Amino acid sequence: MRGFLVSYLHLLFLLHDLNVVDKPVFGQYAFGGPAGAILRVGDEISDIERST
Amino acid sequence: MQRVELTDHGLRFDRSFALIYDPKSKRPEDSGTAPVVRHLTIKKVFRLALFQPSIDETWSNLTISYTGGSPPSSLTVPLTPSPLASAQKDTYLLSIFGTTAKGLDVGQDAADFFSKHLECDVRLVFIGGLGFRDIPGAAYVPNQHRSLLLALEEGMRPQKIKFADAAPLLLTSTTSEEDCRQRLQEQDRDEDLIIRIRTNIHIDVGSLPAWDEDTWVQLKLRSQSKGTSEITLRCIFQCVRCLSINADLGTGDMVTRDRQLYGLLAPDRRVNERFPRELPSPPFPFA
Repeated sequence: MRGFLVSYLHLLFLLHDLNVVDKPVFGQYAFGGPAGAILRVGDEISDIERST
Repeated sequence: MQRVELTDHGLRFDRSFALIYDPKSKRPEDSGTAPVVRHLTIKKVFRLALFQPSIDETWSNLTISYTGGSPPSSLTVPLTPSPLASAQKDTYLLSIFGTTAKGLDVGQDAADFFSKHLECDVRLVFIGGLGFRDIPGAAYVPNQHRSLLLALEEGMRPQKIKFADAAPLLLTSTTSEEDCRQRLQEQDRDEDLIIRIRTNIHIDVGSLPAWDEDTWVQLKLRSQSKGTSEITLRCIFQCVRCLSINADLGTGDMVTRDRQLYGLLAPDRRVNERFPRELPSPPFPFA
């Protein structure tokens, strides 16, 4: 029942926000880890994997 | 901030608080369920831009300064309310982008502070319950399991968020910022656009072209801190912008038309890969 409710809420959100196609894009949503790691100004990026 | 800690719910303390419209009516004693309440967002209430948060050096307290009055006023609350005090607070249910989280009422002093400056009855809430909610952004990803599987492969746990819109982190690049800046009139180019864009992690990409982040899938960072040699950032999907990027942090209103990033980006940045669409010509008007 809970899974159905979550899917239903997602569907409602998408229907409500269908005009997303007309909105500009800036930035990439992301997540990171490991948990507990400290990010500091000046840390170096060693590699970027890209979509083709 | 000079340093931040990654958690399974995004950056530590990031968007642990939210403002809600005061539901006025208390929940029935015997209902056992928290009432769903409406939360405030800057895309509708530009005056929220006048509240400037800061965290003390010990990461213990959050101070919110209101810059719209003279003299400026401020409110300080613990970054993590005590569990004992929280147990006696009212609880509300917030629905944000289709997923829900509980909010614990911070108290009357905080409610009075925000209500006074916003000129409507609002309350400040802290993330309650388990302390996180599901990522609604997964609804945008055709194969939702892809990101989670990758996370497990890399030793991460499935990610959740607090009161953030759609994902734990937002990454942008310096060259995209500069491209954005060039769209403004010359006299406006000194503005700190990243505060308006509200990036979590802004990356200096050197000579890479603007909008390089559109194609990013995964980044490896070499941390300078002891004990952690490498940090992985996994991109989920492109960030679709809303009117919040038109907020004026100086006046708490909408910026003038020639500074409206939403309209300035719309002509050529409607490139959401999940929804391919031919670019408009001429550009859509925007008010």
